Amino acid sequence: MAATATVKNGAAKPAKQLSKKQLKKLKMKRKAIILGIIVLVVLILSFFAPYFVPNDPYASNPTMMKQPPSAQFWFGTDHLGRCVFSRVLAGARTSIFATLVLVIISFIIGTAIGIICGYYGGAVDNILMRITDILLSLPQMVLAIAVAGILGGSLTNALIAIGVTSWTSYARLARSHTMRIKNLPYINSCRLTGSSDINILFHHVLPNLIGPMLVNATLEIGTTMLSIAGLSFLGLGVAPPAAEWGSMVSEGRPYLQLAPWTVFAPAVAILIAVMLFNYFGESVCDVANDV
Amino acid sequence: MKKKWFKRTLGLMMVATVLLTGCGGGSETTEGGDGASTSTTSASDNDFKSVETFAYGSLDPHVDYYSWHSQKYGLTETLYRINDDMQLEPWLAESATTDESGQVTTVVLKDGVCFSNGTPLTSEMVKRNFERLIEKNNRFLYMADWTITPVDDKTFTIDTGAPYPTIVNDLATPELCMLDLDATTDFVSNPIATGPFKVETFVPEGDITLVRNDNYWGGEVICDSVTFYSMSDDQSKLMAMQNGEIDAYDNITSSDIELFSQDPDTYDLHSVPMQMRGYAFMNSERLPESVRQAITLMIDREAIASFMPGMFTATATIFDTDTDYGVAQPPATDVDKARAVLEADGYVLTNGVYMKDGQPLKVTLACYASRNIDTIAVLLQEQLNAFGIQAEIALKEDPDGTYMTDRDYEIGFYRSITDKTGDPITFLEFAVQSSGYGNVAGFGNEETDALIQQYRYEMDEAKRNELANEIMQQYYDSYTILVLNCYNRNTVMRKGVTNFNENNPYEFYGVSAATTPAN
Repeated sequence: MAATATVKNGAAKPAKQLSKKQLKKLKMKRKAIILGIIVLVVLILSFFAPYFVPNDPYASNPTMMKQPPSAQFWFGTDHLGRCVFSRVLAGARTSIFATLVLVIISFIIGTAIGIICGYYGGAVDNILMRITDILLSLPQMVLAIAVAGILGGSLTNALIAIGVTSWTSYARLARSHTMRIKNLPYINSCRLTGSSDINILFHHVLPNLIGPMLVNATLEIGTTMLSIAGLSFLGLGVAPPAAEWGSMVSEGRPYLQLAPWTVFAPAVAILIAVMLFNYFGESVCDVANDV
Repeated sequence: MKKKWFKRTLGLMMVATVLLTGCGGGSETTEGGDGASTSTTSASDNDFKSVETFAYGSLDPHVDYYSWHSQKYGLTETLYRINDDMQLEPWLAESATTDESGQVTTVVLKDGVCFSNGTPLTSEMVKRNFERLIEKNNRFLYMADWTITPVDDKTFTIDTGAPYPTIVNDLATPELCMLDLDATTDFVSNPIATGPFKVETFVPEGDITLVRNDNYWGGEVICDSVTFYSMSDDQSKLMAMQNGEIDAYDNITSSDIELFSQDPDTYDLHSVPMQMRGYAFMNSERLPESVRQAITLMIDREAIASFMPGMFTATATIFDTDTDYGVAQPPATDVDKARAVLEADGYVLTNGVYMKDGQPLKVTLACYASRNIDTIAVLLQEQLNAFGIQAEIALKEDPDGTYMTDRDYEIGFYRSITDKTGDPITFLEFAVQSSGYGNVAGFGNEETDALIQQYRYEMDEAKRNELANEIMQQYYDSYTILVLNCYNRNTVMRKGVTNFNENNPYEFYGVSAATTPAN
């Protein structure tokens, strides 16, 4: 590291003060990278989980019902004699990837709507933003329960139910950034050179707001995961016997006093996953803000 | 930013704490089973408390199925009742005698029977109760053809217009209970009836409290009051029992049976086979006969039952096989034959899945989460998948509002009391007859309808049994129904509680004058 650093006025600052600032940046970046690696490992593990589960997560066995954790069944067995550890691993794929799919779709739809509203304004902006206001004024989980109840219980329907409202935060954020960006001089210059709106939006507006949008998306992962688990817990998510953390908590609830591990294992998995993604999101946010 | 992160983490920790605290509470309750009485909040030592699973908005026993609840509470009573051995015995009536023609029955009421307001029950009032039931409940429209004639205050005749062999069974149906139609001003919240208890407070779709009927005709009533809390969640009921908030409840789950049986010093467990069957309709409009037959032949009912010990017993028939009308049976399990049936219809087992015309054989199991039906569906799904039929589960909120109405299903689970009054007619009219509510699998036909009609008026018992078996054999041979199990009525009672009709196979019997609370 350099002993000195120059600032705008060209005067040398004490090396100690600059080092602290740089050290802080480095720490933030390092934290984000480490968390990113952990998240990546979790994603890879969950994606390939069905290939290395120790037991068949769907095979019932009446002779092994409600067995406590052991060498054979690390997290014990459930009321149908199924390996809870295998089901938690199998459930990771469902829970995490369903969350990512929903976040990505919400991100794309919300950002697109936000950019259109922010750039064109007028009646389109008014209509779409009032719809957004209405959706934001409704309790998201209650609305999701109502929509999932109408559509019926399945993972796809649960994602639709949560997705009805989840795009709104992206739309709001994208709109405000677009409104700021579209008045910048270089956008006006683009217009003067005859660039089309599509060209301006894709090549000049979108790249300048994608950073904060991605940060917002990473922060939403934890919340979305809890929403999906919540709907599954209520029987409005995956259809049995599919392994999904929320539905596993629900299935294990009647056996809480006899086999608490059937509830604790998926509940702790939800807790760890949500904390990990939230922590990662915050780290990315810190780095982005600092940049 | 740090603050934001801190807030989010704190929020997550709170969620985790709530989750873990909820779980921990359950565990503590188990340990505290012995000390449950310390948290009891009973107002009196002589109050009986239980729970009601279903939320309903009225107590009017002539409407819908509300009488099943009012009779369980000790509010209403019928002319006859079904005892623990499933035999009919007089209750408000002294006797019922049918003449040789089989169409005129003379009923004599017991002396001293009166309503909770002290007004005696007369044959004229019985007649008016018949009329009100016919007016209020479509299921009893057939009684409109009957002529009921009071002979004197305590005697009346019923002329059914044609031989009607199950007249006494009908007198035991909970809906045909006796109300004081003159004195009752609020049928929804406070019907005046003959039971050992009368309504004190009733919250529609909520709790109900009844107090002792001091004018009870049947002798001393032990409890001062009876309360049924509205509680649909099994876990809430379990914890209410463990906390000492309630004295007894029935229809406990398989896991609760296991839990209560671990503490025999605190709880008494009673189990009696009900006449409630769990079964699945197989839609003949969606599934070819070969597939329905193969599923009937491959199912292992015992394996399914083994996962929920005490909850039910495996059975393949709608009626008990030890009854004279329960002789008809579906084919026994034979997996090789099941495969032969499918292969004869052109299905080929390829990579563990039966294929025909390049398409895998798939079925959808429509089910709902009640009385372990969703768990049964999961286990059947596993058996079907192992056999080579790809099965998926469609979990519905309620069968009656979905596949039982629109018939949009392939295999649809249902449960019902199949032998309500010691006679097969209930199920025959419900599911086998073409106009029945439960005829949702496409079986109903004119030939069987004619047999059911013949059965309805057949007086000779041997001939009736023969007819019942013939009808049911036709039904089983259509492979439109897959009977799975016979539910047990499981009741848990705190030590000291007695006479909650815990040995009666029908859940519409509960509190009586002899019921004693735990204290």
